[in-house]
Amino acid sequence: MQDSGYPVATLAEATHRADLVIYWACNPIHAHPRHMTRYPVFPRGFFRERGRKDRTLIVVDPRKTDTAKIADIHLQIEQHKDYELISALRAALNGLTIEADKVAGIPTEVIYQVVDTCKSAQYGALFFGMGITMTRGKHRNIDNAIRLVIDLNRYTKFILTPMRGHYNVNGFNQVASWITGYSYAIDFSRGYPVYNPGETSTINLLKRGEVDAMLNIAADAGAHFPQKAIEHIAKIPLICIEPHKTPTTELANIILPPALAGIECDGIAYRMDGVPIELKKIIEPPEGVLPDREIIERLIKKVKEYL
Amino acid sequence: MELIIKNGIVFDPANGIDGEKMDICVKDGKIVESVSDNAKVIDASNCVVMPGGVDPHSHIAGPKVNTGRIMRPEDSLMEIYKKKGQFKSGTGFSIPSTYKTGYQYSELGYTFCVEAAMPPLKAKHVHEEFVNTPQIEKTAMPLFGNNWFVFNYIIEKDFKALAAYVAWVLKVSRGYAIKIVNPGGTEAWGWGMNVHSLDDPVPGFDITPREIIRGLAKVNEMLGLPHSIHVHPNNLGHPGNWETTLETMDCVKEIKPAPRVGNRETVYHNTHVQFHSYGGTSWKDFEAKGVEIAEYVNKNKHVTIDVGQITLDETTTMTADGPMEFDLYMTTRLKWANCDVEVETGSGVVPFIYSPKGPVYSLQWAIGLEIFLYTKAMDRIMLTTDHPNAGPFTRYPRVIAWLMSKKYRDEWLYNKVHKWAHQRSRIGDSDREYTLYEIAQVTRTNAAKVFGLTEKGHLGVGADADIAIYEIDPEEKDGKKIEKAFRYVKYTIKRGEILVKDGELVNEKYYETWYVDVKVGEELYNEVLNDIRSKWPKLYSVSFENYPVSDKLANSWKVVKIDATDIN
Ligand SMILES: [Zn+2]
Repeated sequence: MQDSGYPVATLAEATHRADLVIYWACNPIHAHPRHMTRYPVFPRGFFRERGRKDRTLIVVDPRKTDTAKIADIHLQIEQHKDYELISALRAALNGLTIEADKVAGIPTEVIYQVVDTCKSAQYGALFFGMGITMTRGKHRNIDNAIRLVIDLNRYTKFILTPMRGHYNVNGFNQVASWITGYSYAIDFSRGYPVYNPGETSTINLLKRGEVDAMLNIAADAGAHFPQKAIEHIAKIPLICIEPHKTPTTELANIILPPALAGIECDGIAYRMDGVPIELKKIIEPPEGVLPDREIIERLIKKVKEYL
Repeated sequence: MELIIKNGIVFDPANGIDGEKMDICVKDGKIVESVSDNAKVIDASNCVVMPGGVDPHSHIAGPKVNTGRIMRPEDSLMEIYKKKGQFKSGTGFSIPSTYKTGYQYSELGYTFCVEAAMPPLKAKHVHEEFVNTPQIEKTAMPLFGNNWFVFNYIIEKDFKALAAYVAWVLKVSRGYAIKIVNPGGTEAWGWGMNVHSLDDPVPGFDITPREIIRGLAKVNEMLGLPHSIHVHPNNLGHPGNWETTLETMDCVKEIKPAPRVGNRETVYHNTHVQFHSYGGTSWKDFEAKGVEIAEYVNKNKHVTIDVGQITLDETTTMTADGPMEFDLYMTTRLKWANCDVEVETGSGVVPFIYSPKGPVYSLQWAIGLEIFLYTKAMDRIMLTTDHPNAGPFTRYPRVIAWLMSKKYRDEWLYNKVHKWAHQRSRIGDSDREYTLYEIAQVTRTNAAKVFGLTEKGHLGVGADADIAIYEIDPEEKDGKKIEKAFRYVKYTIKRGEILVKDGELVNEKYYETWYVDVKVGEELYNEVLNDIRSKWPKLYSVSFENYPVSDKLANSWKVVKIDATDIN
């Protein structure tokens, strides 16, 4: 995003307008079970009165997933060849000749057909899964996909949406940005925010062993961080603010279980399309269990007493 | 708590005070006739005293601004505030983080700011950022110009229902005024298209930009809102757009102002009019039409404008004008963010470098100054940079210096910017220099009036004690000195408390978020609410219950209540 930008839309935009929907490296039938039925594929939209019948569905996935099975076009891409296929689509779109017979396992003529389908759509929506960010090429895949969507906007309307799995990751990025100017990996040690991913990101700091204590809030470092970072976590005091038992809490010296947002306390979450959702409190938390906001406020108060 | 500001030279255009040496008395946060001998004395000798600045149009909070921050870590490196005592750190030159935004406004002597564009669906985001914005009072204008409910009520010519709908959105999004951005054009952008004239049909709807603007203007006056409609017309930034601008201004001419709060006398506000004053047919024969626009404003009393002065900096552009941002991206090929918002609006964010060496940018700079220099209707023009679109608000002092000093302006015109600026505009012909009285008009008085802020923008008895004191000789012509004096105040006082002294922050305070709560006839309101609710599930991806902004999302609210129950 910091290299190319971010052409997106809120979820119902695709419901109302999309006549072409592409799922790339994601299998919403299993991973986001309500996505297709609620937003871009099956429902009737303002300008798409017949729902599914008004839309072409393309799935890009090396496996014959359940989502791929109901697609109009399944591009059975070779593993880890996302970058190649996106580049080929861009090349075809920009009028270049592809000399190979196949790219990433997809016949060249199919690539040209898909580009035609995209160009002749009135509104295309590309949803990409975390798969694309985890395979070889990592964030360059997303960057290239963003470039593809931007290129397509010269011909028609096209938007892109990352299929983020984790709850309210966006909320953290948003708040961090308005408070500091940076969305993550922020180092305050110089008295002002410094951002240099690769240097100031959590994983790098842990791997270099520069961290001598860790406060982990609702993230699951134990499950997602590389081995070397986890090894360092095991050596230092770890405090977890976390309501569930997770691989990270297994390593914790102290666990502060907070109230559950949206059940035991209120709060705001930012959906992946940036729409803020207010979470309501439904029941009282167990006695003595505090919302994470209050736990942190009390921690700050205590820290200030020592300053 | 009492204060007396002694021996300052006071400029308070709303009360006709033009550079008189006088004392200003403050008690319990208000301006009063006199104070006791216990009052704290502030010595303002050799200083100029004005009401606190009021910014009528600035993008300081919400989804677009934050997208800019996320997309542009490089902007954060351009200006940094370190943590200092009670004051928080922050970063960002064109898109400062929220605390820094509040701090910097108060360093300029500003005490009130209007956030220029709020998508109702994402209103919570705007208000969450407001909660973390200190030093100023603020309010936001929800976007209505591409809203499907608005379209449908106008198509059905049901203006009462439209009035009730607007009242409802203002209340639940906690907004203040009707903002219209590229009416119909942003909806067309839902299909990758645009509209290009006032009478172009909007794709998918049987409506034109003219009908949208007129319908909303009419309803604005039925409701009697404190502010007029606030319009960013079609064709922003395109050579030749000046005719669309004049046509747009003219299309609401016969509508009569009827505010139920405040004493606004106008029905149409054209924001960042600099971007709408372009002649020619392409960037090759691009020419200035600032004088023509200024002359129209001089003659037509129903219009107010803010300028949107280009400051020739590296900045971040952001508007609800989705198609315009894509066009802009195509010229820079740097980065492009876009977010279309279901049912309501869209938005785009593009970084932009206005180099003084660029012929087009230099002429844009000159066009803004043309508008300032040729406008004689001094009670209907306001200073803005459409922050951060034409430049950051922290450049207001430089704009003031260009206006107050012909010498300084000419230095830029003949030595710093591209020759198109003097060849293709008429700013070189103007010897005009703004007086401090006029500076006060364009930076506080006029904005307070057109937004119906009766206790802001002046220093009369009963006004809020929001006061700026600048250390400057009223006859000063040295551009650098003028700039410095307005960049770092001698004092900023808000509600009688000192926030900034000698250019340094001394106090961090949080103030109200304003919104309008208009009551229309109950039966009508319920009818319209039922209509909205019945259509809701098919239109929105959030529930009807989740749409309103809850009470918690402000440090405190200032509710402007209006009784319009005669609309029934
Ligand atoms: Zn604006």
